[in-house]
Amino acid sequence: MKEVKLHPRDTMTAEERLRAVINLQVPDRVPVSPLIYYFAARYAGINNAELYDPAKFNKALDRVFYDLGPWDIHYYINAYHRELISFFVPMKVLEPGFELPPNSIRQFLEEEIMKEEDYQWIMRVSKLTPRYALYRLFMERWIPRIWEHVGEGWRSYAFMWPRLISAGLRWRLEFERWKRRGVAIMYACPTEAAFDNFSMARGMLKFVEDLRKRQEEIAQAADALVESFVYSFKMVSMITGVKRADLCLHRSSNDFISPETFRKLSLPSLKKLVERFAALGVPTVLHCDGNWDLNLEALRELPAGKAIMQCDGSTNIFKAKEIVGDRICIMGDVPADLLALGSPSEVDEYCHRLIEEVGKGGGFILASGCELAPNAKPENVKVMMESVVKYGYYQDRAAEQARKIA
Amino acid sequence: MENYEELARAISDLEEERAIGLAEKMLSRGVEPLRVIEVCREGLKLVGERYERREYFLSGLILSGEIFKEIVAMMEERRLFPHAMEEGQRRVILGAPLGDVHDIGKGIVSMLLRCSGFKVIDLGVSVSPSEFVEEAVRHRAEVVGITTLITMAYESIRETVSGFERAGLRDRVRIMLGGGAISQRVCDYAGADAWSHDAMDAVRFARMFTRKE
Repeated sequence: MKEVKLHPRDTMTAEERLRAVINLQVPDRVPVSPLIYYFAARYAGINNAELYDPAKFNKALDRVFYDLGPWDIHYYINAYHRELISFFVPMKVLEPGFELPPNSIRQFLEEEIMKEEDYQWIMRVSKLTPRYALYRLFMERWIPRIWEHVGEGWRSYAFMWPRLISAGLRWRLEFERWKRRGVAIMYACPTEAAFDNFSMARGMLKFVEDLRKRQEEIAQAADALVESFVYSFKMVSMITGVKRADLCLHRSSNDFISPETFRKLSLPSLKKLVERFAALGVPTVLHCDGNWDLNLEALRELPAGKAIMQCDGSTNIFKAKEIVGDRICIMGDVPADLLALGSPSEVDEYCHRLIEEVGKGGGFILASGCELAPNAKPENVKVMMESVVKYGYYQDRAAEQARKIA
Repeated sequence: MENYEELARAISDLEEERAIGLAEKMLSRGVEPLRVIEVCREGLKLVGERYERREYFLSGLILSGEIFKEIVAMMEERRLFPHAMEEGQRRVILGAPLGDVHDIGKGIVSMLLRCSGFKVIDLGVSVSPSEFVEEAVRHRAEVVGITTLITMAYESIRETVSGFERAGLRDRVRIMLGGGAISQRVCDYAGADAWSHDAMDAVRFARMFTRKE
């Protein structure tokens, strides 16, 4: 494929830049990767429900890219079929255009999707079919409980299979399009880590009870799923053609659990999985929502140069750089409220600080804190994208430093 | 001789079965239900302090609230719950703003406020600005708490605060904001009185706002 430079002064492609920062090296400049979904609809003047139409979704995102971009890394969450959302977040969901007005945003409901006996089921099935346990867990247990219209048993497989394949192929086509314009793809497919899957699928109250009464089962079931996580990734990666994994950690932050609980129940299977991926040459994006300040030290146990930690604005990203920045690439964290309510000069100032401090020595990706706010001001989004050109070239920074020393 | 301290400690140590067992024994021995509730609140206060010291996290707060709920449910089952205690309680209106249906954070705040002696009127999710105002008037609430996880709700929150101003109630009703999408910037934009990401702060704000001079 032809090498495309996103900006005239770039000396690396976006893919090279992304690989460099994951490897904790200094790239030509800081890359930028906004997670854009509902913002695209608002910006393009369509309603949120229309994003399920692949043509409209792509057209809307293209408009953002050409008007406000470019960006280096395509960070996507569009599922194309609403039932597939359950594979990233195993919860009942209200969707714009279905249960909610077309311009609402997707919202999840805390209900008991995972039953307490599912821990034992996972362990049993993981022994029988280690590669397929995760897949079977969703198809046979969780999906029918989330979506009544899907049905149980073979009906669940019959309903979901064509949609999984269709989404996989659509993603592949979508990724090829982005690659042709010089943009790297963040990961093969978004997924939720085992501990966090359990927490969301059990519902907050039930899971809090489990944290008291079923610690062994949580840890063992999470461990039992590692093999099938790896196998599932291999399959999706083969279809989408991307060799980077993603693990969302929506419930492992210190907003929910103590650092001790994280070390005991969430980290072991997470670490094992990141190590397994690393052995395959696959880095992992850790989508760390919430405040992770007290978990940072524990993340040092992950293999160096093999993961990205995405911060959403709740974790002290400057502290993250200090504690774990020599082992994990840090990504983030222009906050949603700043992009929605702040002024362009405030956004510019914050991005500048991130680039200077968190970007020091490489290993940094500038990004929105989690998803770009649907009501972010377009002028603020543009300032964020431009900041990597204005402040992000490492050569300029080296020259500036040399000037200061002289 | 009742060991009230033991019950408070069992709650603060999140020892669910032990706490419920102790409360049950006390009630069986004829201890005033109101006294048992007071002791439970002492325990919950200790949990709150441990949460503030970051010895406990959200999971601990939720669990302590569940223990309290179970003790209250036991009293209600035995027709012992002191409903008279609700009279004269300070009232707080809670709700998620129009367009937001998340309620887990609101539920935690509601539980903490109830445990701290407030009467909570939970309006649920996707509450319109006018509904907040009408219900605050109807219940003579002094505090309104709005929680949201979505940035799209900023306008609705601002409109709610304006609604209280237009109704001439702003000097009597204090408005606090919470949830992942809230910040000082949002608080200023909406014209609210206080904000936090920390559920325990809701209790602190509510106490502060309802303190009589």
